[in-house]
Amino acid sequence: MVSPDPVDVLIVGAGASGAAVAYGLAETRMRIVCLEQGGWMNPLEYPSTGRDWEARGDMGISPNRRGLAADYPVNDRNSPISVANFNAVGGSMILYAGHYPRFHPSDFRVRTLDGVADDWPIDYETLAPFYAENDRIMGVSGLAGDPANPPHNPPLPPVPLGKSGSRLAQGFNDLGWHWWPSDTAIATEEYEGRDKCINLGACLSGCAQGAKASTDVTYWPMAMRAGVEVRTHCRVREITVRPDGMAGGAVYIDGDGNEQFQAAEVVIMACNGVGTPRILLNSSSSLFPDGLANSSGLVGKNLMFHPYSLIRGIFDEPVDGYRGPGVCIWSQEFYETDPERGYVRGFTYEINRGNGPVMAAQMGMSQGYVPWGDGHHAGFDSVFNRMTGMVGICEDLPEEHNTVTLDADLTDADGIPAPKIDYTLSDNSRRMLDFSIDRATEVLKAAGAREVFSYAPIPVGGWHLMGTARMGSDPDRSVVNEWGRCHDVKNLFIVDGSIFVTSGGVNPTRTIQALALYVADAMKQRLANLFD
Amino acid sequence: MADLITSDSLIDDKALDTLTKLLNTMIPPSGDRPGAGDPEIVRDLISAAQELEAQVRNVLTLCETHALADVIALKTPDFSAFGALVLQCYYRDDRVMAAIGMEPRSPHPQGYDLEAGDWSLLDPVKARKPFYREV
Ligand SMILES: Cc1cc2nc3c(=O)[nH]c(=O)nc-3n(C[C@H](O)[C@H](O)[C@H](O)COP(=O)(O)OP(=O)(O)OC[C@H]3O[C@@H](n4cnc5c(N)ncnc54)[C@H](O)[C@@H]3O)c2cc1C
Repeated sequence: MVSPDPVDVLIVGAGASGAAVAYGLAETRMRIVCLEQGGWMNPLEYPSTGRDWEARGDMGISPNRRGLAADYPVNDRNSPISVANFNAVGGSMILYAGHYPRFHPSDFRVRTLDGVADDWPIDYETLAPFYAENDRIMGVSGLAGDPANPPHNPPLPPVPLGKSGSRLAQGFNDLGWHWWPSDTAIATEEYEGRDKCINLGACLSGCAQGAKASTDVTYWPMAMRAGVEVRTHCRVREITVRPDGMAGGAVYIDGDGNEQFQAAEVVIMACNGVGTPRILLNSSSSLFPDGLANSSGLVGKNLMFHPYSLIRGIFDEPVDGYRGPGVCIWSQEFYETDPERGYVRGFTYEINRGNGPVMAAQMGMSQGYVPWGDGHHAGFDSVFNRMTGMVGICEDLPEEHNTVTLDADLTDADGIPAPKIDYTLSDNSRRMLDFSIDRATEVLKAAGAREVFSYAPIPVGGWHLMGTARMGSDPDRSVVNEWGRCHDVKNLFIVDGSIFVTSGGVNPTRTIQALALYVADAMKQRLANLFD
Repeated sequence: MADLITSDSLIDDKALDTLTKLLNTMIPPSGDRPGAGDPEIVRDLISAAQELEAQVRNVLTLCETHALADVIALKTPDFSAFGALVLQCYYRDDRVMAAIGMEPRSPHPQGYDLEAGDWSLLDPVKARKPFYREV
């Protein structure tokens, strides 16, 4: 184990949040190093550059199925929803869809408004300037004027409606329900050196065009030009503590399998809502016997996923099929609580376009529309380019029994205990999922669907990882304070989805990144007395 | 067809014959669409099957004791994995792609055209007052 000179700031994880906090701090000219267990991706090797683009298991969403060197296994057998992520510079954004809504103001006041969960210690207004800065850096496409959201101005025009968007928009209009072109992290015009979207239709396996804003093509190049160092293939095993109870740095395994130590004045965790509690729990010591920063006992508790419903209609007329970014329009008609509906809080519909031929055939088979044998071709023709619909992104409320702990037996390739997920779907979520299916079925029928099918939750849909080191002003009820610093360890910060108090009914990443910029700003404001 | 398999220990002539028949039962030829047992598609499938060797072998073994239609109907986990592989190989064949209206190419670098859609549909929503919950 070597001990190079301490750096000022050590960031663990180079995904959505790690990149944003690095960029936010770069102007301080401090020495900043980011340790990332994965490497840099080469977009020209992404599946959409090959004929086998629907068959590439190495770019699948489940770390357990991928099993790449950068991956760690996740024991999610005790959960109806399995974890989806990606481990590389850019993090899970390499695979994300780029659906990019903001939280609503009400999302920060859940306890006050609805008597459930907790309020955040910050509000929408606190984050608004950081949302705006993040929108500019990521290059958000969208349309100002959405009546479901506070005013904001996406810098790029929205993605095309296409046939799918137009058809479903007409269904929403017939019912008098809200829809709006989605804000997306997909460049619809050339933007800051990035190419514009050319409708490859393969966003979920990496964007070969570079139009989808993942941090390897947005924040990181800027942060590195400003002097931040990204050290790849370095897997952190634990955060050490000094005798005075402050974080001392990180022990990590480098690309050659050697154990290293990097000392640091400040450590920032950005490993996502599963990776961060895993490392904190693995960093127990005599000073912190239950894991680092865990005097509240809440590290790894309150895991939230966003249970998803999936609803698809089959139409007689062609829709977009394999063409275009999967994201399209959204509806937030049912976003806010209405007691009449039998559950609290709400959800967003994310309208998706369609699928490539393999996925269309598989989906058609799973629903009984496409048989093997004589009827195969007719069945295939009935679904291919004729299937579109939506997912319902349901707010997941925090519950302490939904946890990330360390697995007693399973480890990654470096012997670090794997995370174990214990999660149950709440009754509130179940009722919300059912409601989302019923209303979506009405929309699809109004839009002219000949058949509708649905299921919930999406079993492989654990792509939003939140709540496992929540933010709050009370050290007994939260892990970090209102600006991301651990209550227990004054030079340890967390910036990923772990710090969410509640999950909102939207995809989380725009808020994760705005929070990371906000935490960086809070640190900059307090540089002289950061540890007071 | 023996040249199909010379470098591949997965399959001998007899197994190749069974595989071809099974594939043509799963996706029979029709009009301008080849069957999944077409030699080019079988060749692609065999080379793509490396990671699923055990599953393919198990499916072929099942074919020795069951009618092909029953092998399909049994829906064993091995057959599901095999079926996914069949779809992956079938729907990337040039002739199949052309027959279903796709250009036989990868999505990148040309991409695809996508129509703008009917933006006038947004007019009634634009007329709506803000309705997000005030706090
Ligand atoms: C298939 C899929 C679709 C999605 N679609 C959307 C969407 O449309 N909209 C949306 O808002 N969100 C979406 N998401 C979620 C989005 O990707 C995440 O919310 C976001 O990336 C989380 O950011 P993060 O910084 O918390 O973590 P990540 O981006 O996951 O980054 C964490 C990084 O930490 C690294 N790391 C972890 N542990 C260690 C360790 N011990 N040592 C070193 N490095 C480590 C990992 O390798 C990884 O690179 C999707 C995700 C997936 C998988």
